[in-house]
Amino acid sequence: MKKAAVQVTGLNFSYPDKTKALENINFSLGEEESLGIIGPNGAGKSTLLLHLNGVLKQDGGVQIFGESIKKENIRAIRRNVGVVFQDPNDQLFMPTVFDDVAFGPLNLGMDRDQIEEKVKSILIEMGLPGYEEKNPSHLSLGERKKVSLATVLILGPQILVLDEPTANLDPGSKKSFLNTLKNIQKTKIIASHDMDSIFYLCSQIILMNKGKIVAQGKANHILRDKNLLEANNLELPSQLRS
Amino acid sequence: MNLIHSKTDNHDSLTQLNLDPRIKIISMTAFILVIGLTPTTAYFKFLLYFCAITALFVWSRIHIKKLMSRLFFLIPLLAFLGISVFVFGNQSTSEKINILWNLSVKSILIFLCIAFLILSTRFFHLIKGFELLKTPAVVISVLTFAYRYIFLFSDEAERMRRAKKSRTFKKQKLIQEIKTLVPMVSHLFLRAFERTENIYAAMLSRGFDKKIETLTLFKTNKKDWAFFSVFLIYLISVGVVL
Repeated sequence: MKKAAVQVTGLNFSYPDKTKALENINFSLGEEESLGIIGPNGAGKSTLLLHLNGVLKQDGGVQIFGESIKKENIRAIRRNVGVVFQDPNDQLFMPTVFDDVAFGPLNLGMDRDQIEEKVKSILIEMGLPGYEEKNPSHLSLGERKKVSLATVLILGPQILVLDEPTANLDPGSKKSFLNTLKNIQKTKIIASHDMDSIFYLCSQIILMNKGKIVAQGKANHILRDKNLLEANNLELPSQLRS
Repeated sequence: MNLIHSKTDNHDSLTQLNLDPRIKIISMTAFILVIGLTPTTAYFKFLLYFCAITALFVWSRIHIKKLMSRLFFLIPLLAFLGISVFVFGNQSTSEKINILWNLSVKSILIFLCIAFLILSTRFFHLIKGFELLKTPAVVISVLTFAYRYIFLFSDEAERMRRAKKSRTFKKQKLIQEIKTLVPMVSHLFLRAFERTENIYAAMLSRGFDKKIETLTLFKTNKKDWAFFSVFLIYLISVGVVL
């Protein structure tokens, strides 16, 4: 196994109203591996993702490349762990695509002279050249998803975290977005209940339900276990249905 | 799905007067000050101001329809001024006419200045212009978020209105309309509140540290300075010398 990019040990989390969202979460993920976090609604997938770059705080349960997340290293961690949120309207909050993509680099103190060039090149890479001055509200969902991804990729993270990346996309946009993701050579953690996307993108799987890990292992094993999936309100990927 | 953006945000389709927004803001502010300080009886000066603003509208090729739609907002203001002066004023009729003339001509000219600024400049350029002119950061943040999310909330409101309409089978009385409108508005507030949490998480993920930073992309050129000089000379000539 390659060097652990993400190491989660005994992670627990409760919301202020005492609702337990995560209970004793343990997993490890090597560099450039891709992990799918699957589970029904309310399983705790999104809550887990928010711990990976310190948006939600815990006591030393998460290590990124061997470093626990602390106040002192939070900027470095957030630069290294890019989170793409489920709803691009949450991710894209600036009035133009340019400002949104440049937001992270500016906050993380990147060289201002290079940012403009970097924004342009990342938009070309995403297939969105000339979109700099557009208001994100005026883009299609597929385009907004790509811009969301660009806002994170521009920071050059080693770990990419995606929450329901294909939710609400039409088949064409979904295919295009999945191909874009497949071609990104980084450690990827993807939370979704879209089994087809997970099957296409991930080699490792964690199955969660009610804040706990129910099963974890190779995608080839877990995604073929019909009984396990159905017991957790999921279904086999369409390619594996006979 | 973009429902009503075309109705609410049509700035992108306008022919833009390609000047640095800071120059426009300063010029229009100076113009408004000069208009405000002009004596009531300086009829010729008002005519020259009107010629100047008309020339600006023609130069920036602002469609007359767009301007007229904005001018409708003036009608209630002028009606209010007329009622205030004639109903509540203690002056003689000629004095009242004089006051009304003073208020009306200045309101119309100032309104035209503001309309010119808004209609000839993209909104986010205006925001950036104000930002670069050291407008307080909190004002800029509020404007930025308002511009980004106003379309989203108008979409949500429109969806809710359609959902309500699809389940309304007969014409409702006004009181019933209001009764259904109240929970809709409170729903919108709740959604807005929920969204702020998500947006804040997204901002933190990209290194947000209390201040929204954007890149300065405006550079004043000879054309900007030429416009500014000519405009200033005109204002001084008409406002002070004449």
